[in-house]
Amino acid sequence: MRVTRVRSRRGMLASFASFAFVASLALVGCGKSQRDVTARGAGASLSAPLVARWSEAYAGPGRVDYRAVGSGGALMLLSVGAVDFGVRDVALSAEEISRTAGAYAEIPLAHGTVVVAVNLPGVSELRLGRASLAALFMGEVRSWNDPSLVRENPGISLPNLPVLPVHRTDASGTAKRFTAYVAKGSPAFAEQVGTGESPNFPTGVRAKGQDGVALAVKSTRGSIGVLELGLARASGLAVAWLEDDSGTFVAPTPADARGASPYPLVSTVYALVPKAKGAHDDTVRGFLRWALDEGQHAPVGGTGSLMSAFGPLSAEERSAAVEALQRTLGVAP
Amino acid sequence: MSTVPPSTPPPPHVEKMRAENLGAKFPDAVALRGITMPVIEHKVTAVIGPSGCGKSTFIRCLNRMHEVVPGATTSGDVLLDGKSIYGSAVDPVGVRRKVGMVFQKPNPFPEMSVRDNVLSGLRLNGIRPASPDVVVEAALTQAAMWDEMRDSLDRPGGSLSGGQQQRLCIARCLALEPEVILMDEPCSSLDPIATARIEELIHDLRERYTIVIVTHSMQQAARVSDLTAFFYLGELVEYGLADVLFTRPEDPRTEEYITGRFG
Amino acid sequence: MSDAARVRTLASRRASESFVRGLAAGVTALTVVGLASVLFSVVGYGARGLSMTTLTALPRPAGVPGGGVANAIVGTLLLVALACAIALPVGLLAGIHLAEARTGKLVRLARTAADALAAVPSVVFGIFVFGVLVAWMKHFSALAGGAALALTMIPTVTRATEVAVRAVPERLREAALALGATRHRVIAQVVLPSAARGIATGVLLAVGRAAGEAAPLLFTAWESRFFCDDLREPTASLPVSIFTYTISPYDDLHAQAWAAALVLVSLVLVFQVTARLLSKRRDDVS
Repeated sequence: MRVTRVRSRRGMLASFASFAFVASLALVGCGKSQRDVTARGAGASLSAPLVARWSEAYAGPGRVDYRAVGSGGALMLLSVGAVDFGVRDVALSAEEISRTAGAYAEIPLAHGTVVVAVNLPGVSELRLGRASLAALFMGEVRSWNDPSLVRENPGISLPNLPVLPVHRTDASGTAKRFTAYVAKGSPAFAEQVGTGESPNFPTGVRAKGQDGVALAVKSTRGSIGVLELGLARASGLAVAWLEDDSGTFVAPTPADARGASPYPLVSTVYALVPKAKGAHDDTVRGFLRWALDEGQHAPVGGTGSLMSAFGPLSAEERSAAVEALQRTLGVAP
Repeated sequence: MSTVPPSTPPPPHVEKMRAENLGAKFPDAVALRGITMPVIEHKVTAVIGPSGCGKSTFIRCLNRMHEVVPGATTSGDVLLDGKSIYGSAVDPVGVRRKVGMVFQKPNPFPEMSVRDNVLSGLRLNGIRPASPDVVVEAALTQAAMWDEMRDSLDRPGGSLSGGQQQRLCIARCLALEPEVILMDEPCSSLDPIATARIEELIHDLRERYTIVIVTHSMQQAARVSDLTAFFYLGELVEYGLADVLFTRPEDPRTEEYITGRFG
Repeated sequence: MSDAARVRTLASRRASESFVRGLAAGVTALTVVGLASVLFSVVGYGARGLSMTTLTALPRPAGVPGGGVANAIVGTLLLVALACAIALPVGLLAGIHLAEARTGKLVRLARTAADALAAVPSVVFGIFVFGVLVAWMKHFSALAGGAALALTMIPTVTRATEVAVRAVPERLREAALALGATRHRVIAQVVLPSAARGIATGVLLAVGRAAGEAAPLLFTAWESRFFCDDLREPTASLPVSIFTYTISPYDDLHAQAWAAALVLVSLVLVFQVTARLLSKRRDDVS
């Protein structure tokens, strides 16, 4: 007993020492390179898979880390100064430009495809007109075998499941684009839900980021949510055909090499770069330039079903983007 | 207020310490009144008296431990080698190095080894001895436990028996080379054999140190002391040679106490 | 009371005693079952997702195989170390002062403050540090994360220190004082070593709790896909990675989340068990 007591003292010292050793290992950081200046970006979760692949493939100078916080979050973090660049899948509105006093340059990077995904057992294809979408998301149509939906989808047996819309908790450019699209065909929707990054959906559940939406839709039968095409495919979700301006239903199609697509909900992914000088400008410039060069080669951002849903910029868009980048951040030294 | 000279002072004697009109108070009670008494060098002075008579308070005034209790105060003076220990310029820490104390319940530092316990007095004063092993051996020898402990110096202090712990506390005190050793009922929690060993030790220590021992047991006082002081209700009633006080006490209260008429 | 009435009372007393005993046993069993099922799930699913890759690789983009949580593991250790560096000095000194000073308005105020802090939900500490440190630094950082975690630790460390220091027997302080020690030396050389085991137990429990907190890190240390090589940069951590991966729709990220949960639970268990062993030793020895 007496021996263990004296030894336990040494034991305590030993455990504290080993803890300190481990902690100091962590502090040493497992290899710090002075060249690895890290530029941090945050923004849309729609483009997160794309930007993440780009950051990994990017060879330097510097390195890039990207976090999905939603398009609204990008503005907030940029204004605080906590990130070096933002990414949004919707252009700055006039109000936002005036609010931020034109402090950011918008540089288009790629085209993403916004889809409406559903979880309906036995259904792999579905048509949803603007009116149906409005009715579903406003809670007017409560069940999937509602006559209005059946009429729109002859030959497809819709199950008798309750409709569960899934929305975003964060301010989302995807939501803005989607609600703008639906509102064009439904004044009631425009009035009640509104268009914008945080629409006022009266019913349904909320999820964080488009990842959260994908998870929610994947796990709940009868749910419907808005997200990016590649993610929907990776999650094994059925996606809806939407009607374009002439009323024709189009299957979700990514933008082609000319930057065009018949599908109505193709969005442009923009980088937001502060015009003021920043500490990591070299890295940001290098990364965005690389994205506009190497990053545009199809499949954009890498292989896999996830990536085949993003489309490159058209030639004109690309040269305009490169010019905007040079205007903002100059040329590489 | 009572001033009682020794009945038959042994020649020659030197006053190591002296209490002069010493009073002591706690926040809610008076413990000592006007004690004037010498402490003779190289003698064992026993302080006896019933519970609550102030004997513990008295010796705690001799090394300024009384004032550690919040709200406790002293009046009067205590001299060590003729100099006051209560002067405003006097550091109580310095006093306690010269006047050591052994407590009623043995209190070695339980987590420290025997060796570290002995050296703890030095460490607590910021002294790093050049040869600690020599210090440890000398102190344990003086405390009559070197032979027992020489092979168990790394045992934790708390694992010793009661008697060993108390002798370890004495060794710890001796390592600082004090001049006076105060003992507050050092044997009251020990068995008779351990008590006997400590009494033997006190007898031997007298040669080099001055000892004041508070004891509940008159028999112990009679066995161990050269001079005895009898306290009652915060006052010094009688002080004199132990032989004389126990056989021919002058004050009737002394006589009543030593004959056991009250405890 | 008649004998018959007394017998009835005894029988009914026995019955109610059995009932209560059965109830207590049942509730205990439920608790054990609950805890066991959590552990089984974590170990079961976690072991499946656990591999050298998961433990040593950095995260890869979602849907790409070969990612891991190495930076989260290191990040958690780093954040805990930072939190200790802040919380231990503050908590120890505060606890010692509260125990030694004993009386006074400042002491009572400090004790009330420590008790109040103990009740604050950890996410509030995160918001506080965000508003104060992150906004000022204009950066998410490991430092901010460590500060937020430290705030969750300080009340526990303070209280554990105070209790442990108070528990040191007065006679040890007396012995030290009688040997001529100044008050500071008494505390440093006698009181603290004696209280060390109790303090260590409290510290380990606080560390275990801090290691598992996600909410205060969400807007302080944020996230990162790299190792943290600068304390002023954000860092990944196990609780936040678990959170992020779990709400993602990707199965391989789910597997990584389970593995991360297993690592985190193991880490916290190590702290808790060590605390247990330390306190047990103290009880065994007189």
